[in-house]
Amino acid sequence: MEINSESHSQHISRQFNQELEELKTHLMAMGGLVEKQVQDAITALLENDSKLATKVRDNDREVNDLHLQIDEECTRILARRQPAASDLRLVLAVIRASSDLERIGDEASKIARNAISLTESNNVIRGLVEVRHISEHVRKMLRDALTSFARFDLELAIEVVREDELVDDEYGSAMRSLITFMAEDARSISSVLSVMWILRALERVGDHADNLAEHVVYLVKGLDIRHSDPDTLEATVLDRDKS
Amino acid sequence: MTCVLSTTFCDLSLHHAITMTQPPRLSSSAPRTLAEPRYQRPHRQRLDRLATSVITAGAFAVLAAILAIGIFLLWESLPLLAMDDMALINSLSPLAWGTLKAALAAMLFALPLALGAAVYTAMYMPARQRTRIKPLLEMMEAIPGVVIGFIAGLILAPWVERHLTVTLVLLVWLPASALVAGMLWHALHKRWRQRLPFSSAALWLIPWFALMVLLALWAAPLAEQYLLGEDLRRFLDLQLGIDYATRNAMIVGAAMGFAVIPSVYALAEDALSDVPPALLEGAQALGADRWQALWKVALPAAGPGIFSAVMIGAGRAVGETMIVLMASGNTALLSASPFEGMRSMAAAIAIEMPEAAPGSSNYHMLIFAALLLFGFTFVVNTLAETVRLRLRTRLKRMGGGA
Amino acid sequence: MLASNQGHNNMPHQDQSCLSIDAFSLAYAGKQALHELTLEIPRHRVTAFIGPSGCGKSTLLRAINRLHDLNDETSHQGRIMVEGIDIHSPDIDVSELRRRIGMVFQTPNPFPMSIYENVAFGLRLQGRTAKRKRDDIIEWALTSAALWDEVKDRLHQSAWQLSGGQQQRLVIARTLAVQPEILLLDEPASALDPVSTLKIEELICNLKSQLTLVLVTHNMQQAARVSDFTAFLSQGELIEYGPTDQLFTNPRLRHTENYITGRIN
Repeated sequence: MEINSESHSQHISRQFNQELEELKTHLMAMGGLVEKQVQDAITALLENDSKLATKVRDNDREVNDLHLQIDEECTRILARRQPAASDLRLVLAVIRASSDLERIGDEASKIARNAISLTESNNVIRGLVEVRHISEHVRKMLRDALTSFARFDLELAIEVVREDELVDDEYGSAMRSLITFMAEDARSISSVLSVMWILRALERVGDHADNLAEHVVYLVKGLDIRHSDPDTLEATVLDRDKS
Repeated sequence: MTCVLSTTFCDLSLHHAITMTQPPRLSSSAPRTLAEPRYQRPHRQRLDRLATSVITAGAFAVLAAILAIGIFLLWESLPLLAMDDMALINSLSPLAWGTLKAALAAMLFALPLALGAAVYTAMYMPARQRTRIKPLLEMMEAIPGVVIGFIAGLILAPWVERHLTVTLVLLVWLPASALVAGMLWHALHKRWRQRLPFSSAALWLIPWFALMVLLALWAAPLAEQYLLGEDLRRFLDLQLGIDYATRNAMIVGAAMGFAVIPSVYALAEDALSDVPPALLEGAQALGADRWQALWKVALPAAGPGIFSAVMIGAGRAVGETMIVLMASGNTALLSASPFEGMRSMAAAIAIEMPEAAPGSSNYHMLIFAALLLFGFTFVVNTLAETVRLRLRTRLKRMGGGA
Repeated sequence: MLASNQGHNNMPHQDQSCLSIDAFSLAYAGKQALHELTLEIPRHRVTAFIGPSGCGKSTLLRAINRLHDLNDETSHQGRIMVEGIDIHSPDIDVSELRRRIGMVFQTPNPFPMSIYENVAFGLRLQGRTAKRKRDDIIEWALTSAALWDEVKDRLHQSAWQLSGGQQQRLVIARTLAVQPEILLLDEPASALDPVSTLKIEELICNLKSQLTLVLVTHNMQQAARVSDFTAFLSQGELIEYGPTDQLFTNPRLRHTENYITGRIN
């Protein structure tokens, strides 16, 4: 059975409603923080702002704390409430989503660390166009994934999954052009390598956003689409929608 | 460590609960503090104590009265020790025999009827009928012994004397006809069986019994004429040498049995209804039919209760005075014949006490009879009640409330 | 054969079905208690009936054992088939039917006799069995009910001296002794403490290899723990019936979802 974002507030136990509501709020707070981390890391890189990059790197601890806190809440709910059906799926989805968000946080701090080393090198940095392009894309994916989680929006989630394929393609072509840069100018190799790491991190962020979207599908429909073919996805998820 | 964590969690929720639900105030006056709860109001407390002491005093008064009766009877019968044993036995034994005979006759009449009725109402009757029938039967207990004795002695006894054959035939034929009815019912077509369900047998058996009584009334005199060629009473008297007294053990048995039925029935029915339905269902779920469930599970479970019902009935039958007095003819005989009368101890006390001079040997003997009666009923009732209460708690514990 | 996470159509097939209930309705004193229930109960599996109080789950269970026969005021339509035989057909021997379909009730109900006699009760009803063979069956039944070790030294003591959990296992042993094909359990653990409850649940899972079990419970976690299939009933109607794994992670209907997750309906 498909559920909507209201359905976790209709329990006979108001305490339980409150606990699930808090769980969602905390996850969204974590999502907001991680989203900002990614954005700041990219901004720091593009604007050569090493202070901002340091801040991003240090803020990762906050993300980790939130991750631990959400995990603990989930454990407590599992132990005390023995949730079933959509409640169980919510708790499981939150556990998985929080660990994906934590990984995104790690990627953001990785970007920040590379940005710091790039600003310190004072060289001309090549490949920023690609970084800007892919980061726009990935940030949209992350935003959409979080929105779909907040609204239990299947269509948006499917869109994120499909977007991830695009990002993967773009990542491939960006890597190719960066390799060309390295071949052209041996001195730039170390800075281009840093940019490659950054691109790689962005691609990983996209993958985690894709995971988040998959958790939304599991949460809403009870379907596990993690290892299924993206082409048939729309049919399985949204067709059943109508029936 | 975990303990600390969980207490903080609980503390939070507890705090929440307290702020959420304030208990409603009972009155608008200033809030009571714990130091002066309302139970300590002096007026109410005094009333409470008064009521408690009145009730306690009542209970002790009853106990004291019973004890006083026992001591008085014991004291007054002490002089008998100085008396001649033979004389005592000679005068007491017919009375004791009469008491036993009357009680035995009454139990013979009452037990099959009362226990059968109890089993039927508890096990077979639909609940709706049962709630109506049971109080009705228990109301029989309210009929005074005098009335029963009067009807038995002055109406039933002469009628039976005139229609002895019919009575004897009915005694055998009515139970037998119930069996016949049962067999006929089983042979009936299924459609008819559903129309006359077994659970309402009480209703459709009434016309059947009426028919059987009419049949006996018509057939018995004919059979008497044809087989004996004369009146049965004359036949008994002349051919077999059996005396027939108008007021005899049979009449006493019927009358006193009638008086004993309600209490035996009520107690036995209680015991059977206290058997948890789960026990019967358990037996049936194993493939037992109703009859097997009744014999193998319900009766063993209710056994002590039925035993105490029989004991209470016997106690009543032994102590009953007015019915024996009026329906027995009061002849102190040592005879086993159901057609002869008797004099019971209770009746003897009622008849002879007013004329016995205090201090005379007859007086002491009557007192001794009273002591025996008192002791007997006291022991029987106590025993029955103990058994009944023990059974009850046992069945309750076993899940009778389910 | 149990739930994969995708399909909804992994219900027991006709040929695996031991007990099939076909458009069965039951009215008690003119009041409709069950409305045209249809479901197939698979052989050698545990099927749980859950639902709010008064939803008819116990009534259905008792109907399978024809316990409602004891009341003149019930009437029924539809069929209940055990291994292809209609249990309401006129030439069915109800006692034999009840021997083949054992039933265990909510409150432990050992008979007022010894432990041995309790287990022998059903055997004695069926007629004489040689004492040697009877002893063997009784030991086997008590062992199957995981009670033998606890009572083997006091077989001839009153069964009422056992603890509640032991009594319930004795009742199960008593039922097993007549070797039924189906065992109906009506809230068998609701009067027991948690440890006894777990023992009964363990027993239910072990008995699956021998017979088909149908469990009525108001404890949803219990249904989730022990059953393979779960039927959710409400107000005398079958709302949803499916593999337990699916029903407790992703029920098809909102009504079921609301019930098993404790939501206001």
